[in-house]
Order: sequence, then structure tokens, then C-alpha cells
Amino acid sequence: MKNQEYSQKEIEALIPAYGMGMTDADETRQVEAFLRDNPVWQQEVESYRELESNLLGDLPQIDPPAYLLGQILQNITEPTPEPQKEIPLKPPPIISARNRWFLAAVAGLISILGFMALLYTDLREQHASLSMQSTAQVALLQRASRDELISFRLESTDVQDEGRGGVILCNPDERVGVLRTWRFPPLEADQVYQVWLLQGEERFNGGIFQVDADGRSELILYTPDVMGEYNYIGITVEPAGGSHAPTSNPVVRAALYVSEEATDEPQANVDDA
Amino acid sequence: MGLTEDSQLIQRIIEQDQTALTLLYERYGKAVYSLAYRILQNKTMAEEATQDTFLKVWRQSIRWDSNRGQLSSWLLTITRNTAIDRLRAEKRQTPPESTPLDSIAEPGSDASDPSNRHYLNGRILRDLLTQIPEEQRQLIELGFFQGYTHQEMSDLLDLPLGTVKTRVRLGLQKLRTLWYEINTNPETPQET
Repeated sequence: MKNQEYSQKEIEALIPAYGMGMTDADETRQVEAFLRDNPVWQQEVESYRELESNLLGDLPQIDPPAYLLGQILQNITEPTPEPQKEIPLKPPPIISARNRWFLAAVAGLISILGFMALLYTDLREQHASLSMQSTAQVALLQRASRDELISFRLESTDVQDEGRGGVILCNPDERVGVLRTWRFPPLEADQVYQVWLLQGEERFNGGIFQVDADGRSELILYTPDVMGEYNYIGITVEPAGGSHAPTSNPVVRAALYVSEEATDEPQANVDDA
Repeated sequence: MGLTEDSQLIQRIIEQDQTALTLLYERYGKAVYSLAYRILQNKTMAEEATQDTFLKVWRQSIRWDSNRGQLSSWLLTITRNTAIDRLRAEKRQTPPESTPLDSIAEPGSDASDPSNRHYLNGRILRDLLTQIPEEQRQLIELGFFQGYTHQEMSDLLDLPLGTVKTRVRLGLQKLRTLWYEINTNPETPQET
């Protein structure tokens, strides 16, 4: 399509369409250049943006499929071109191998969840009441491993605060788990909670999260290995963005799949900050 | 949803808090999906556009400026652009028909909450659109909801480009005038 330079009158005539997001790339470029030199027209633009907002947001509502949130949460865990927020789970030589495992795990999980999403259509009515009570994350995991779901209770490490706690629901043969917490203390704006999973001597970052006013949260954990490979789980308070290693003592922790050879205490405990 | 709460939610998403993204989806996912479906008229594509929208929010949430508008408006603008990009990627193998605005709700879908102020505004705007001359309304529908450019509408309808631009401009100006009249006249009924 040919590009042409518009006169001021022609650009002014494009302002309504621009405000409504109806101009093509070339028109948009010229209108925006015009607005930089003629900011008085910005108010005119804003008046059409108000119309745009109302027209966009006020359509009859349709429920998205129940599995969509799970797919979105899966997608956000995939590597991005700008991984500045990602925290290395292991020293560099091992990270590559782990990441390949992780990608394979995610791909496998996507396949499983896709199949289970089809089954869910049939199961939806049967489990309607449960769905009303559960979040989409829990529903996701339950669909994936309904028959072998195991829960581990995370206990407070503060004997003065027995109400604080959590639970992780997982299948030992799956690389995913759902973590729920309750009565966690509120954090400062520059803090987050961070999950750590321990596998022998190695420690894995399980993700960061915040809690609501009641100290509750839910988090899906996607792990490089199946959950049955992890011995302990702990949660610490860390600076915003998370840490490479724990910088504080855990607020809750739990033993997961501790082998017969393992000692009572984790080898790479989150306490060793 | 208040601006402060939205700001807090976005701040948590900037910190890569999955729980915050879940909350955002619970609040706005239905609106995003509905808009995507309205534009794409296809469930699978609407699901993909909804996923893309929330993925963009997850990765680019720092771009939202609370001083420039509500979070819902920003989200829906992303949705519209995402859906239109997807439509264009489909090359428009067959010319789409202009779909009446009230026809998009599927059988069995939830009706919008009539007590919702945005819903009322939308109903009013849809009624106002019907007061715009047909030849202008048709172009607004094609351009706004289906992402047609002026040139594409000119080609599709075999109209001179200048005529398309003029009709779009006059239609939008008329719509804005009617909208202002409604909102500045307290005697005007707010329900349609």
C-alpha cells in the first residue's frame, strides 16, 4: 500500500478514527507526529478514546472456557526473550540440562492438560459444585491427576503462630503442584514470599507470590522433576523479584517425599540462608 | 474495581506474582474473552487472543499508566489490537458480514449484569449507533470491530477512499455528539 503525506486538514479529519484506534500504521504515524506539534488536539483524541473504552467494554458477556486460565498460567511460565526476572535454579552447567528437562516437562504437561480439557467437558456437570469452590488452579491439577492427588501440610516455623500454614497438592509422578497458603503475615511493598523445593543437596526456586489481606494465596508450581523427587518444601520472605538463595528463615515448611536413606532434616535446608 | 486496587494488582504482576494475574483474569477475563469473540467470531481464535492478551499484560504490565485511563480500558485496547492482528493474519479469505452488536451473545451464555454501569453505557451507545446513518454505521462496525483500514473498506465496498474517510469521520462525530447529549442531559433515561 502506498504511503502518502497528508495535509494538516486531512490529518485533522483523521483524529476521530485515530482516537477510536481505527487508523492504519501510516495514518497513525502521521497523526501522532501532528499531535506532538499540536498538543491542543490531544483533548479531542481523548474524547474519542472515552467512546472507544465504552464501546469495547460494554458488550454482552460470554464465559470463557474453564480451562483457559490454566493455559494462561502455563504460558507465563515458559521462557521469554527477556528473562531478567528469572532466577537461575542451579549453577550454569546444570541449568541448561534442567531447562531442557523443564521444557520437555511443560510440553508433556500441555499435552496432558489438552487431553484432560476435552474430558473436562464431560466431567464439568459432575463436578460443578466442586468447581464453584475451587480456583481454576486447583481444578487444573485435579483434572490432571484426580486419582493420585496427595496433600502435604506446611506448618508454621513460629510456635507462636500456629494458625499460619499451607498445603501443597500434587501427584508424585507429575511435575506440577498447587500451593495454598493461609494466615501469612502481610509483607512490605518491596517483599515477596518465595517457595523453595529441596532435592537432596540441591535447592530449587519454586516461584514468588504475595498474599491477600487474609494471608491467603494460591500458586501453581511447575517443577523440573516430578514432585516425588523433592524431599522438602519451604517458604521464605525475600526482596521483591525473589532471590537466588533464601535470605531469611522459612515461615512454613514441610517434608515431602523423604526417602528411607534421607535424614529427618533436609540436607539443603532453606534455613541455611 | 477502584484505580488504587488496579494499581496494586498491576504492581504485583510487575513483580511476577501469579496470584495477581489470576485475580486479574477473574475480574476481567470474561470481558476480554467476550471482546475477542466479538471481533473474531470464533471460539478457538478468541481463546488464543485472550491468552495472548494476558501474556502481554504479564510481560508488559509496566507499560500501564494509571494516569492515562482505567486498567480495564487498557486491557480491552490490548485485546482489540490482538484480536485484529489475528484477524489480519487470517488474510480475510472471505469477506465477513457485519454482525449486529446484539447478536454476539451465545445461547447459554451469561447475560451481562444490568446493574453494571459500563453495561448500561454500552447499551446506550449501541442504541446511539442505530441513530447514525446506515452507510456510516456500517463503516464504523467494519473499522472498529473488524479492524478494517480505510483503504481496505474502500476496496471491500468499492467506494472512493475519500468517501470512506468522510463517512467514518462524520459517523464518529455524530456518535460522540449523541453520547455527550445523553451524558449532559439528566432527564435522559439511563436504561434502554
